[in-house]
Amino acid sequence: MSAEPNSALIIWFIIKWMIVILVFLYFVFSLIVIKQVSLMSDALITEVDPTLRLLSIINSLVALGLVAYSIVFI
Amino acid sequence: MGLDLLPDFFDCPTRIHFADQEADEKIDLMLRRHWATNIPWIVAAFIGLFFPAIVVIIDQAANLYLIEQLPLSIFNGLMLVWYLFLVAYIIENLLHWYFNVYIVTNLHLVQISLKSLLVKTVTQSRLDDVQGVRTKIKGVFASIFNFGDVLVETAARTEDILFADVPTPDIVADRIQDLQEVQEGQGGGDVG
Repeated sequence: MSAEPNSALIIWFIIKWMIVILVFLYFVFSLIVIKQVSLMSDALITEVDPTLRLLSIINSLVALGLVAYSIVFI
Repeated sequence: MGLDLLPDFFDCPTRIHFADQEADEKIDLMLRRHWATNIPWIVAAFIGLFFPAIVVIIDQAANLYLIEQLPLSIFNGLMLVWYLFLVAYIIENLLHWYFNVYIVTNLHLVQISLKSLLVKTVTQSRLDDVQGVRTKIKGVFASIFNFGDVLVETAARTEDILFADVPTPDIVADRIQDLQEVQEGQGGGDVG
């Protein structure tokens, strides 16, 4: 009788950590975006470069916050 | 030319520079792919925005009620992952469009490309190496929005340069030919 709730809990636990891993992968992607923007801004110099760099950093910080959120609240 | 939000045609821009630009080199044209080439991924992203709602509607319409059985925190987590995936898709498409540029200067033709996640390529050809310029507008979509390819054939020792899906390809080809004639008139000039 008690096996069913336990197995459900295990499944939710596995899904939770899969979600955390996927959110962490987005954080890794956001770091790659920072590198991409930096790399391309060196090749093509425009007025919006500082804005793009700032946006890419903000995106990465938000992603880091979401990793923390997903660990704590999911 | 094009939307202000997605600028694709810069005529004699003064505040744009590129790496390896020479002191006496001036940018005559800077081009990106026509803004309309972004429409397919924008439409896909827009559909993606409503995809979770569509799944919920189908779930209820088919009397499955699978989503109701999910704990709220897991449901929120799945939503989070889906929308992060969507944001990543939008960012990558936008960066790919924004950083793939074609530059025509008084001395060179330059193609700057963001090939994959961390691979950048810069192809440069001297104007006096240009042997021919051809344009090609392919498809109804390209005809409506007036964009197409400009293929610049260069001397055998350098590879041809393709300006893909650029706005007003005829005007671009004319400008390249005009600049080449000026370059030839100056006897090749001091080029790098």
